[in-house]
Amino acid sequence: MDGNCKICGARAVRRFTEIVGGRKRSMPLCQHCADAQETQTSVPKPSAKPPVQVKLHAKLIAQGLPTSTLRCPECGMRVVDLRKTGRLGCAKCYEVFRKQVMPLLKRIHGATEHEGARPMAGVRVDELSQLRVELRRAIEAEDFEQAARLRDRIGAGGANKAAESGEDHE
Amino acid sequence: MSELRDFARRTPSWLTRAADQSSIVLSSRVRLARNIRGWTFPHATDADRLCGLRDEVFGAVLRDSPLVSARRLLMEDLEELELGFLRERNMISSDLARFVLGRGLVLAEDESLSLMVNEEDHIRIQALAPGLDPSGCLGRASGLSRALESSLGFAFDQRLGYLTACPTNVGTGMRASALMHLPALVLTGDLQRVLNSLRRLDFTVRGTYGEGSGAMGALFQVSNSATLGQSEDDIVGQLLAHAGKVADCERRAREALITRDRVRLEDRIWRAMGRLTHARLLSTREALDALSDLQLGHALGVLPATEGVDDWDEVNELLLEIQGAHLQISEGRSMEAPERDELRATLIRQRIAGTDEGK
Repeated sequence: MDGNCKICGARAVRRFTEIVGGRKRSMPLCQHCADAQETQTSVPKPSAKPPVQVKLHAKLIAQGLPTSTLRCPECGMRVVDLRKTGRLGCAKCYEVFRKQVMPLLKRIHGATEHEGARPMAGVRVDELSQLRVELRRAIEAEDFEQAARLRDRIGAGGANKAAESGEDHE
Repeated sequence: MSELRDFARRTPSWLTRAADQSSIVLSSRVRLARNIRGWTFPHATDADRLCGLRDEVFGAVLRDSPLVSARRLLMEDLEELELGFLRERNMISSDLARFVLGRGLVLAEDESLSLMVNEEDHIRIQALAPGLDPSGCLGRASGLSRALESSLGFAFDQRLGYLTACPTNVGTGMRASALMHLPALVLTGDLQRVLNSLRRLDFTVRGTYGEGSGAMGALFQVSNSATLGQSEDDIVGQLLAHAGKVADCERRAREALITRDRVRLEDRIWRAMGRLTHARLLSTREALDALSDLQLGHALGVLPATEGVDDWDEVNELLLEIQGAHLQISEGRSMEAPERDELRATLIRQRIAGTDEGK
């Protein structure tokens, strides 16, 4: 077996194949990671009643997350809270707990990269909100030239939005 | 209570009969989860801030969105019965009915598009359509999402996509589902096999009212489990394919039932008709199960087209109308279970027999 393990970089010993979202995926893994994947992706027993979603994830998190004293600076959440509730406290938590969350996402979704819709192209949404704040300030300061420039830039974002949503509706 | 009585008098647009598959696929639904950038997720936010956030979302809906003229409801202003009513209509989740303070609902008059505020995520958009039409639902849901995104700004990560309170929803934040009527698969015992293969394909199946073969009315919700690593269109494509396959299995099971043991099947269906047209007390379970048999009998031609029912849409309507909170909202008062069972039986007799017989 050539190549390195896709998960930990150690020497790969076999190819691991799984079906995610109806598509077959295959990747080289070391024995350790392959064993871990094997147990994680096993199909639930047919007779088992599907557990309440939140409980399941709290359980998954409890099994999989290493203990850590990390705390989110925005919302104050700790790994122990994530384990207890199965939920993150804010968007920042995804950065702070990235190391803990990524393997979890891999297990839940079989993927760690977003493939779907993105905020409108051209102007990013955070820029757009910022532009709106600046526009309000410019109008309050009666700086109409600046306001007109800002409105044009916001308008450009709006035009992109219309084009994108058109595609989405097909 | 009067505000919601208007809704009780109407059938939601998503329950009206549509495409030819609609005797098996009743309706489709797409849900999008979104959070507003800069705010902690609802479960980590205090009630004051939740109320402020709700104001902001309602404001954005009013400024520019497909829901500009929709009804806006504050959950804490609603009575227990009204919350139950919205729950039965699938307009709110049980969580939203339980934790009401700072929570809200924006609801289009025809109920095809709605938005929950401060459920597990700040915003949960829901689009519904009759029959198997997840792409129509997706179009409307993403239209609303984009309209709100330009004024609110959503939490988005370049790698992970839309960020949600629970890691199970991150990425597209999308859950697409089909509400399916699968009585023959329940009767032949093939249901479990079909459900297991769907689970292996990363799709979830839940009883709409109860689990597994014990699900009332043989109604099941088929939906995607993964939200990360697939585009919205991929998810829609998979739902179309999987729901289509399940419908084929149901059709085959129906054929098998009628060829193998026609008399037993006819007996079952006519007994259901007997209970619905003559019983004086009917529980929700008994009523839903009997209505399910009736629909099956109609689909298989066991029941003559006109037998007892002028309009088969009315049987669909009954699925909602006979539920506890619906009965009480349309009567305008709260009732104990035995009284509800009596009212349920009377309502069904009138509707199915088409007469006041036995009233």
